[in-house]
Amino acid sequence: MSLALFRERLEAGEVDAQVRAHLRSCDECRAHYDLLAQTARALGDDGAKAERERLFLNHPSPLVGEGRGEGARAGSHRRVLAIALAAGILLVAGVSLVLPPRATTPEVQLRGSGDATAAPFSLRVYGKDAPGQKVRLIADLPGAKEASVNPRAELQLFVKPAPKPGEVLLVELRAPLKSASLRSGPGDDLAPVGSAFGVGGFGPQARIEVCAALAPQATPTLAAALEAGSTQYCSTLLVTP
Amino acid sequence: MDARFARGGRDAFVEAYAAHAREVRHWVRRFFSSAFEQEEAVQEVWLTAHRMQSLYDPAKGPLKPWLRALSANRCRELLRAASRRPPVGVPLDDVSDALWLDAPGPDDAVHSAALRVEVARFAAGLPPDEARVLQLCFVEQRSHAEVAKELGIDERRSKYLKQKVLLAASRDERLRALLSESRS
Repeated sequence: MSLALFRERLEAGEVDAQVRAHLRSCDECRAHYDLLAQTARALGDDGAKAERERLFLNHPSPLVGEGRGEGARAGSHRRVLAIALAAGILLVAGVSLVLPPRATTPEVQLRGSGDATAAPFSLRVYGKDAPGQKVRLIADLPGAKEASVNPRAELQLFVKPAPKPGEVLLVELRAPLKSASLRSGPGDDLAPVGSAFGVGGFGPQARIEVCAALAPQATPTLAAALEAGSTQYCSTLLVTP
Repeated sequence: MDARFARGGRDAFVEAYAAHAREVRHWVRRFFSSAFEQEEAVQEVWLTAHRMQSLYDPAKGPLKPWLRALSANRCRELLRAASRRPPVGVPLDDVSDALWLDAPGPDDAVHSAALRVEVARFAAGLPPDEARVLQLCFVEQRSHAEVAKELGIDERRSKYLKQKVLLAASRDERLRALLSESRS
């Protein structure tokens, strides 16, 4: 019944504050809104324009009042800030805990390898434990040294930070029944390494050795990189049901 | 920009928003599968950032990690307030810098590629005027006034065509299946 009342407005994109208030409590309408919003996103509209309008034009907050000479709002703005600041002071200890330290060591060392010769990169193993499941971060190599994966898992490797221009990360996956070579692709901060692959192809209960090295872009293989003096970092993926 | 943000003021906040809006949307989407909840959470994150603007210290690090940690904490708070747990894949004990939020994830890459193929197929099956509306309204995010002028129609027709394209896409079986997979 509720969706019938709101459907037309949702489909016409007339989602004002009243409709949003309704969406917070109506699962049926919210599901329909989600479908439309995700469809629009798939078509190319990431919602940026609507988000900005809502934040800066429609929100009854100091964001609207500032800079527009709306003096009547100034007092309430100061009160809001005072209260927020008091709360902020209580929170600041917690905030300072989550602010990143000014580390001079590579990020990968924060992942716990504690090794003075730690790799200058983090090879992140993302994957689904089985087709259709959610993607999760399975391992952060080589710091983690070893990780377990399901035989039905589908994995994708990423390297962070992305190799500098002129460089590439070469990775070899080695198991008794199969080997594979992967190269990093372009990326801003995180670059994919090869394509996604199924663990099952490496055999049941396999140990997949994952070795990686940074090398000049033109280097064809990991072996060639090692011959030229690159350092190899190896870890193990244990395929366990 | 970071120093200006720390000094406060709307202009600095607007500048920071312009620089990091896309990233905040990406981070928030890791916590909520519902588009509506994502939108609400993004608003909450930016309002929190505005309230805590004066607490940001550029000497402690760049603005982006501060915003990333703030986004993660605010999203967790919103989930806790609703007595919900974060989705599978969201680390519960990562309170340091929420670096994991920056990763696009292979699911995103694979899913995006599949969506592009299906959207292209869907668009190819549209009548020419609707295909143009898809490009102008959704991809280029032009206003109805601009679309109407470009296509030589009135705004009302532009709104009608946009709604028609959106509904047709939402009912396309293959697109629905892909979107359903991403929501689950």
